[in-house]
Amino acid sequence: MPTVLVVDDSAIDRKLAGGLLEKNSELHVLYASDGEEAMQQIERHLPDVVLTDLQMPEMDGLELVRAVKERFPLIPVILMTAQGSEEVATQALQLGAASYVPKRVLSQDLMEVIERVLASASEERGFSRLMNRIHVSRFDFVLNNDITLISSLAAYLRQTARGMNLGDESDYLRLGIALEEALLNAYYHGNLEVSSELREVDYSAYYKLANERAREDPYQNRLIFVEVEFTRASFTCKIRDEGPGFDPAKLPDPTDPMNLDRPSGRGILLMKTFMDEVTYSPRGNQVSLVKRYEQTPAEVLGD
Amino acid sequence: MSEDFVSREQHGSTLLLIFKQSVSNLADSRFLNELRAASQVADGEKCQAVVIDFNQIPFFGSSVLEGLCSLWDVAKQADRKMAVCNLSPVGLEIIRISRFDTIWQIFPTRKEALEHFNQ
Repeated sequence: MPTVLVVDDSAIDRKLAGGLLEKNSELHVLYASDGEEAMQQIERHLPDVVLTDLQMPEMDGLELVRAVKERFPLIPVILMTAQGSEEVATQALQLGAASYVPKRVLSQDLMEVIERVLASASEERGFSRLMNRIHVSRFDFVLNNDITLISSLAAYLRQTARGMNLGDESDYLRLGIALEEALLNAYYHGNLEVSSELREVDYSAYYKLANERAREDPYQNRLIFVEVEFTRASFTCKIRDEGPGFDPAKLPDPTDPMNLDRPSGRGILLMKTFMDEVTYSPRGNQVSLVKRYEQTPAEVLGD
Repeated sequence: MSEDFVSREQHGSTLLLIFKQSVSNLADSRFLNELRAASQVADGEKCQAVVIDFNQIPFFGSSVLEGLCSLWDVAKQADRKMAVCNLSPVGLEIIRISRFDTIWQIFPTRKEALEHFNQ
């Protein structure tokens, strides 16, 4: 039986919303009078959905959405909005609230919104539990020379790491950054053969040359091959371009105070900082990135 | 001048550059062009300081660092100070990894940064 937590500092409004929900014998309803009490109830009972007012003392609805999203990302939060609070409601939706229902139409719309959000949350929880049972996930991508694919691929692999619960949000961002840097190197320096030295002298000429070569032979038909493997213990990614390769030892050390102002080498620095291993093939046109994880049991709501 | 990546505000003798969320996914010269234009504005207004507000952008890469370097080059020549503020946790980590915390002041909030330079 799904549980709904109703949060409102007004006893009358709590009773009103709760009363509508209790008419449905298949719902179990809990109550809290403010955000802090709501968090205690959530910790104790893990409700399936939270229905909250926006304007509350101590911890308001916006802060509650933020807190629930951070600590219990699989519990959806629905807002009850009063007239004039549309802007705050929009903010809350941007922070991750699942939906909202105006108080003036609570009796007509509340049950429909609750049912819809419960269905969607149930599917998401099932998906999350499934993702946590992945032991190995392998991907093979072949990218043509389209720079817009690079951020999309990094985002997709970040999402995969997140879905498999391999670390925290900062870990996923670091993974994404290292991947993007490696892919951008494969694109600009590898396939398009545009040198960092040109960027140091004239960045406009650098990007102009890159744009030209992206439409010319032989550069435009070159591909970037990406092999990825996620396990519970590690992330491994091999990125190979079809350019002539380079010698990474020749890059300046960006942490040397003499080189702080130079634009080159920072991408590799970020890769090496955020990954446990970064190795290049002898030719220099393939890089392998490895990140290791401590194997701890996945924490998933309901598991 | 387009403001796809960076918006500008003048606060006394300080030019405030506010990064937009689009900065996370960039990898081309448009961002650098906007920073160059901002430098020209700073020259024209005889700004004594430039503050970069990272606007809690969750992450960014070497392209952004490159842009900041080029902004810093111009600022140094004009004897202008530069600082960054409002970094996300990973953003702060990136600035520190790159050792830019040794040359730019870092403020937690925009308010503190602007108050410092407009004292």
